[in-house]
Amino acid sequence: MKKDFTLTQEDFDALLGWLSANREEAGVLYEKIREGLIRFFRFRGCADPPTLADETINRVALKVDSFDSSKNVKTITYFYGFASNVFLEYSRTTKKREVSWDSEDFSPARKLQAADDSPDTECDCLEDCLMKLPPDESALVVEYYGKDKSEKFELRRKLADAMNLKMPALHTRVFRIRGVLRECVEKCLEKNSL
Amino acid sequence: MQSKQEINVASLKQYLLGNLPPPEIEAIDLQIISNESSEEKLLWAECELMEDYLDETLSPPEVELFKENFLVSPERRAQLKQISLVRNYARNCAPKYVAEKASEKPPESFYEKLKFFLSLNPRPAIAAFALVIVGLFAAAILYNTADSQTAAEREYAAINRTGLSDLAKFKDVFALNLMSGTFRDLSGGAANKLSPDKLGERVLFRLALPVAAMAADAFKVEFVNDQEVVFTQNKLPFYNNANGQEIRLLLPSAALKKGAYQIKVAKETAPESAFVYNFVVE
Repeated sequence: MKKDFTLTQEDFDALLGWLSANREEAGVLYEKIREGLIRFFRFRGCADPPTLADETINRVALKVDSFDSSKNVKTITYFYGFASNVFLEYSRTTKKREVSWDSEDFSPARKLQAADDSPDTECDCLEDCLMKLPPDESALVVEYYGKDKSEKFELRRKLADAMNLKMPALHTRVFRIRGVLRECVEKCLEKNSL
Repeated sequence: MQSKQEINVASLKQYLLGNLPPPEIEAIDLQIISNESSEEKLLWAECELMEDYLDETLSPPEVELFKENFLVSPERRAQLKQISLVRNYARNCAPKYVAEKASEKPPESFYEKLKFFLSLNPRPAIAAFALVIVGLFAAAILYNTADSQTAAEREYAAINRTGLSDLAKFKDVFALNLMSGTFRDLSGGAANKLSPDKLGERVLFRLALPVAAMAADAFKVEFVNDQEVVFTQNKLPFYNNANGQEIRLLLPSAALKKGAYQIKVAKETAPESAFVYNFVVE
């Protein structure tokens, strides 16, 4: 992906001026748009969303003078157009130098491997990390992932009811705990590999 | 900046697979950029998609799209690996005790046994005599059971039933946090090993209740060492915490000897369905 755009202070000021006449409001809008672009690249599966978001903003900033304000196009649409191009360029370049990965590592069949019998260091680390969490959090994660297919929906609904949460909020809580676990497991594996 | 249109999780999963027509992709893209509240649902959809893949509920074309369009970043591969690991762990190490117990035939009641016994002995005099003997035998068992509580069990019962709501009062007591049935073996998990030099006079056990046990109920707790019940507490209350419920129990360190322990927790109303917690005294 080409990255030959350099943003000057003047370009940046022009961008803020285009976003809003009020400098403070323009700053807030700028931050919201940047966060939105990061989300866009993140959910498109890109490896470095903040860099791609900044690249998009740079490109918009450099073209601000050429936008036709009489067309009444929404600000966000401009950003989206540039973001789509950045994404296409990113996809082309990453596909060219795609790092090979072993799809067997992610095969569903791998789930059948019984943790009970496995001397897997990952499992040892996960176990230790679960024990380091507060008991209610470790119990929640283990419960949440305790069933598969149709059974899991019923179980999770029960969990959400018991905790007086809506399903997305329950998921977010589990996601957050999983984030802590992941960090802990990674540190543990790193430690074991030394 | 806020879009009023709600995105549903099923559409988001197709979006993540790259399996929607361009206008729909654009509509979702614009919502993602302009609406920060979309993030929670997207994260949910992302994880559900990974679980669908692991559950093998995606169609063959979806599996191809999953590998080609979704599993494209190291971050997502790492997430998939982690979900797979946690799921394996949760499913293979989750307490099977409850299921095993549930599948067992419940024991016949005393009345049924007596009826059967009397049916073999039709003569009333013999039956009456047998009834007296059985009655005396049952009374003896009941008497011995009632009296079998040790002094320590009686002493700790009072505090365990009512006095553990304020954990600050026990900040100097060694606390062991456990969840049910997650050990692959009793030598694993250093966090569940008790070292005698760490213990003071008492140990505080905090047992996270699985969702199946959550209810307004009292619990019976048994500490089992080498297949022998070494400490029992009845009618224990549960305590609410941020993510669910737990049982708290104070135990004299003197009751714990070296070895592997199981703690069996059952609702007073359903003693046949117990949850098991493991720990080791080194």
